[in-house]
Amino acid sequence: MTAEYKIIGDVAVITMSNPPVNGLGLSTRVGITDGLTKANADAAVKSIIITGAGKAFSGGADIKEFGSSKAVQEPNLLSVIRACENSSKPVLAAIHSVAMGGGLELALGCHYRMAAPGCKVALPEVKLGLIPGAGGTQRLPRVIGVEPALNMIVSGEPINSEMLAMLPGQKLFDRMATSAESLAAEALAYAKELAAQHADGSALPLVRNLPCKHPQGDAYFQFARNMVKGMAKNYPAPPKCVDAVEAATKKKFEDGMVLEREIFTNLMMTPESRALRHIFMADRAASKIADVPDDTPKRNIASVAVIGAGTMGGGISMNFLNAGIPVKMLEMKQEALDRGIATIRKNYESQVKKGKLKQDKYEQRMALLSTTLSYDDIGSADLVIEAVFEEMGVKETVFKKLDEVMKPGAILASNTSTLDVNKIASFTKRPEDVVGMHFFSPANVMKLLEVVRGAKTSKDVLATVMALGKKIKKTSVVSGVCDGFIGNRMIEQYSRQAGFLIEEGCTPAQVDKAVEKFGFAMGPFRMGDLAGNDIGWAIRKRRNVERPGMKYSKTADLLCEMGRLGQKTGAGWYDYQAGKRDAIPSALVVDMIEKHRAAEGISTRKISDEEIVQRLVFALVNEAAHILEEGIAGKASDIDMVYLTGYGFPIFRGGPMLYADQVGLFNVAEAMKRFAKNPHDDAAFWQPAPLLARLVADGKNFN
Amino acid sequence: MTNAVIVSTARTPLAKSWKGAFNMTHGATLGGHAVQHAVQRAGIDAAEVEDVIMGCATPEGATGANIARQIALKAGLPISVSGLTVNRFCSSGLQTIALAAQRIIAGEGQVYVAGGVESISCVQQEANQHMLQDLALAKMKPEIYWNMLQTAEQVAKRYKISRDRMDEYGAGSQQKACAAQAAGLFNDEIAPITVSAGVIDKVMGLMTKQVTVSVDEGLREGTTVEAISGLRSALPGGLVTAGNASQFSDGAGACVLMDENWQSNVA
Repeated sequence: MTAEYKIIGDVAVITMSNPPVNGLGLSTRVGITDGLTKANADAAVKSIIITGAGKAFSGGADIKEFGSSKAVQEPNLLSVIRACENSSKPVLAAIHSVAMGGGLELALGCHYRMAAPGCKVALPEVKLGLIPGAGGTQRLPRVIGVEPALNMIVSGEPINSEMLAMLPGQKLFDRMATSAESLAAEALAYAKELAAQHADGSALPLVRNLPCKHPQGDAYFQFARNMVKGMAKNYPAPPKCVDAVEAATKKKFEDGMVLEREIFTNLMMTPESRALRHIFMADRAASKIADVPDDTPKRNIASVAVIGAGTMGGGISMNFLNAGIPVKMLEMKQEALDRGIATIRKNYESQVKKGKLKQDKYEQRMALLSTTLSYDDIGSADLVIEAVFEEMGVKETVFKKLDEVMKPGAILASNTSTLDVNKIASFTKRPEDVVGMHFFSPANVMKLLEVVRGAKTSKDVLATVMALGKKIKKTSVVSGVCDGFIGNRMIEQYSRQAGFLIEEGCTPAQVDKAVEKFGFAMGPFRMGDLAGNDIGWAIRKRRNVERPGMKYSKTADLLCEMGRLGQKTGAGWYDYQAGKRDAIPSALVVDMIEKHRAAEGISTRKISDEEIVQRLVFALVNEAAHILEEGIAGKASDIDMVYLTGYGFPIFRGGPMLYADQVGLFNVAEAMKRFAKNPHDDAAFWQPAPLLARLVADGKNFN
Repeated sequence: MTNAVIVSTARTPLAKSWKGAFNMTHGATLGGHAVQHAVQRAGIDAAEVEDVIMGCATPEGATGANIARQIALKAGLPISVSGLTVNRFCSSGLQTIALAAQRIIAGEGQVYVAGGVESISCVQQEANQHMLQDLALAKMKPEIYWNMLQTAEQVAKRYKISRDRMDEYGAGSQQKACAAQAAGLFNDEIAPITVSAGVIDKVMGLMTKQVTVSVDEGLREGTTVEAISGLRSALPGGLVTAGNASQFSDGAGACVLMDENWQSNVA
């Protein structure tokens, strides 16, 4: 049982005790109802307190039960709340630290509530594509008013207890404790007071009986719905939050509860909620590595050196400065250092201007930054990250030097995005200390950190880098060594398909629009123009030597030969006006594509948006299935996290692997077989990856 | 034959639809406010109004159920004053003034209130869509169901109105409105109004707030042809843009018309 029962004088105290946040799992729920039963049967008990042990009152549903039958097994949360309401002795919720979701709903089912200041109060279900499902939408408006409740439910954001206590006329907290420390004693005294107050058998107050009205309900709720729909385009839950709160003002309590349940159940089935719940779990799972246990010892990282003060080096440095870790940047020339520092300053200053960063914080961060022109100055750093030119010869020079100067036990990391980390490790006499830390540009903004595990990378290095990733607020995902690692290896297949599509009849704008409608932040051609089309050009030149059989559309090379390298040259797949980023379809590019088609003898056809999206996304999926099978990625959800946090994959679709699962792997494989028959495409590539074929045969999913 | 004359006018400010100040205001309140002030300014006894004729492009929901009659009552006119709602889409309001004048000239009555009301915020997205189209008519004359955007593009094409001319007109319209506002030229026609509006507050979120509106919202100071010439057209390849089309607004206006020979029975 994960709830304790204790008698103190004539008060029964039920303490939820299910670390870390007293999730309302089955055994906690049973603990509460058992406690209520015992307390009601015990003549010596006059009143009851429900509270939480440790760092929370309750954080709500137990995520360990997510998706299992235990989550709904009786007594479910609704029954627990009913048991609180039906207790013949006053039930007081003693709330502190965290009262979220089901935790807050439980408190709302109690007769009285006392809160400690500094308690985070929220109904965050909307963040998982749901609405509160145990009366939250019906009870919260009754205690804090319709408008504040609607905003809490629509946003899911936590609000401090003392703020809520200041709302005029609020009935959420009957009393505030002076501090979290004194809550237990104050609650005990209050419980005794309540026992005395109800000794005459007077009715116990229930939130459900409170009135709930909005003076201009029709107008206000429609205003709210309009605004919420505009703000949350691809998500069905927020407008449903409005519907549920509106029901609280217009329906009888029990009818409102029925509607809340109906909405909750329907949302549970939506692909968007499935995606959000998947991401919630995937994010937590990403930091777990199968053969690296949680208790693996970690090295202390108190200082960092960064080799290279360019765009990447500067961005990488900012991550550590933001986390309060001193950084020393190394460059070959003073001018390069000066430029690097100026860029960092400019970045921070724009944050200060926007009010996102306080001046003193900015100064603190800059004080943590130092520079050097000499490798001799960085030897004592706990971690060194190399962010120099992507060329093996250059990496060799740097890592040989690092091997010479770095202290024993220092972690040597490379920010390479495609090169062989094992080879880089081999330049040192300590390959176990070498790891890839692949940041994405702009490195101070992008959430993703691909941690590349070399064949010899030691487990404690891996554990250290993963923990450090968390500290600098990145989503860290482990990738094995292969060309492009997880993300770039997949994107290459996506880009190849984009090339084939324009050969077969699409315009770049049509391809971009189709995937942008699907939800990608940017289509492949706009993306190419932003990143620089010469990057892919260089990779294809290298590929041509390494893997000459790989088929590409020549259009991208022809584009680069026209000098159209993207926004930086004012022209790429699109035309650009000086100083503007609007992509304007280019007649020159269309002409180039048409001439190319004629030269290759390709007769065009009309290609549907559906085919465009499927070919691009399923190309990611098939390559990902190979990556998974080869063990480059530890689990399918890691691949989803890479795409969601590093490549602009639409959040509401949950990542390429979850999307494939939702489409149905059978359908995905069938589509691939269809694409394989297309003479202009790459038939060998479209053979469903063995793992995918097995999953289809077994009727299973990636996730 | 007698002449009809306009003796007074009053209007609410124009508020931006959805995010503007009238996003929670009923049509009867908007129209009632305009009519009340027009009648007051005419200095007549409200009971002497023969009929309140109000135009409305989408006379349903918050501007439905004979909104003109609701407006008359909300304006404080006695129960004996009737109401007539007129729909001729965009020219509904203008039509009411013509209609009132014709009735005066024809000798049917001597004092009329005419005007219009529109609440795009509260009506357009909530409009009844049931059997919106007659299928046979839609086949015979599909243009009848076109929206304003399609219609405007067609008009531009038919009469060869270029994007440049439209942009010039659009920018000029903004410039004139801003100049007029700065010179206080609207002050006499606008009757300030206090309403509850839905606002997005940085701290409190979506909330209702009492606001008093006394000037038109959505005027864009400094609009130039150059500034709007780069805007993307609403339809691919079209000419109509956010810069050369009128914005979505909510508001009401009314005027009092009378027979030039009218003499009050009361005074």
